[in-house]
Amino acid sequence: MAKKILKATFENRCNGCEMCVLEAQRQLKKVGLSNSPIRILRDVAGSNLYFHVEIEDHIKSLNLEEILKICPTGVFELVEEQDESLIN
Amino acid sequence: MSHSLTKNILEIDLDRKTSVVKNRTDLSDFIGGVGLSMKLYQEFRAQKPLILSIGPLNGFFPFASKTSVFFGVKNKVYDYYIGGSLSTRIRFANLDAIVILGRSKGDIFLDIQNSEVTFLDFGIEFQSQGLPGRRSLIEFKTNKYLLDNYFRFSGSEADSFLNYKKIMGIVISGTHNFDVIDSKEYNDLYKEILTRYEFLTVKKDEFPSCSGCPVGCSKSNIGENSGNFLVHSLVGCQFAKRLYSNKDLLISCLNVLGYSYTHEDIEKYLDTLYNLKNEYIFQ
Repeated sequence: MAKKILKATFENRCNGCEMCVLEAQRQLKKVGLSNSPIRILRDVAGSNLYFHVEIEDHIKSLNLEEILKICPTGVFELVEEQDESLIN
Repeated sequence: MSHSLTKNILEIDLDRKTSVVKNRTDLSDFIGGVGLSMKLYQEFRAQKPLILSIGPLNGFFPFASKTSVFFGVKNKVYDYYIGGSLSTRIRFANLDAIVILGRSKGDIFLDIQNSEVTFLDFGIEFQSQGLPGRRSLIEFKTNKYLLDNYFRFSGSEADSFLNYKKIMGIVISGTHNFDVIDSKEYNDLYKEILTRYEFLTVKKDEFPSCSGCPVGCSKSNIGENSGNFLVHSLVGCQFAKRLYSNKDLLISCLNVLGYSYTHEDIEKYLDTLYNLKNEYIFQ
């Protein structure tokens, strides 16, 4: 069975609340932003504020369903991981 | 997480361009936010302080997402509350308050990373300072200060005061992680609070949200001023007032974080604040 990975498919919906960052850190028994498997970067365009979601590879060890569930705007989805050996 | 009652106060002297972090055990009775600010203002009044402070729940629990901004002009004091990511960055810098004293000779930027402060001359590419994903940026734009280009102070007096100090921008990055000792109890309480949407007096929306608040309400960028002393000591959002003015819930949150405050301590603390308040004329 293919493994699921977390993808920020609907990044444009992100409101910058960082609930996902804090959830991931809590699963690692930490409260803070450093070394988090998710980072929310702020981007300014004109007078608007946009968010960019960065996901690190070490998120794979976490409960991804819980991270998906805590996002209030539905930024994430769980997708099947592509097998690189089949692509190449 | 086992917290001592020590308050970590970053003092920044704009006249001398120096800074120091003091670990203050004598401030343990002042839970945080407006209470801590009032006490610090009393101490530093002659140096015209601008005080940014947070409370014990910021960064740890949802809906505790504001930062107290306290200062005095002539014989009046102002307590404002700004949202965005600032409170979590101060928390993860392992600070309880930042006290900015005096006035810079020329326009200046402050780059704060945990306990370290760098004084940057005006003209530098300020937007690139700080640590991506772990920073908050306050910047002077045309005629007002904006936090992360969106969140603002609730009154123009804060803008005028920052401008008077010749601070053109402040970037704060926090890299401290706290270990969770009693993980289950903390997680259960966190998730329970998160389900209490019905206690909020604001509706879920699609605007940029404050860090640690999933709501994304239409008022997140406006900030607050004055109001409930207990909620503003935490420093919770006024729209979560009904949640965090519940003293049983509050004690549970504080205890799981390792604070030993009791109901009596909180009552005594509020009495102290009301007495202290009489020394000032609040706007």
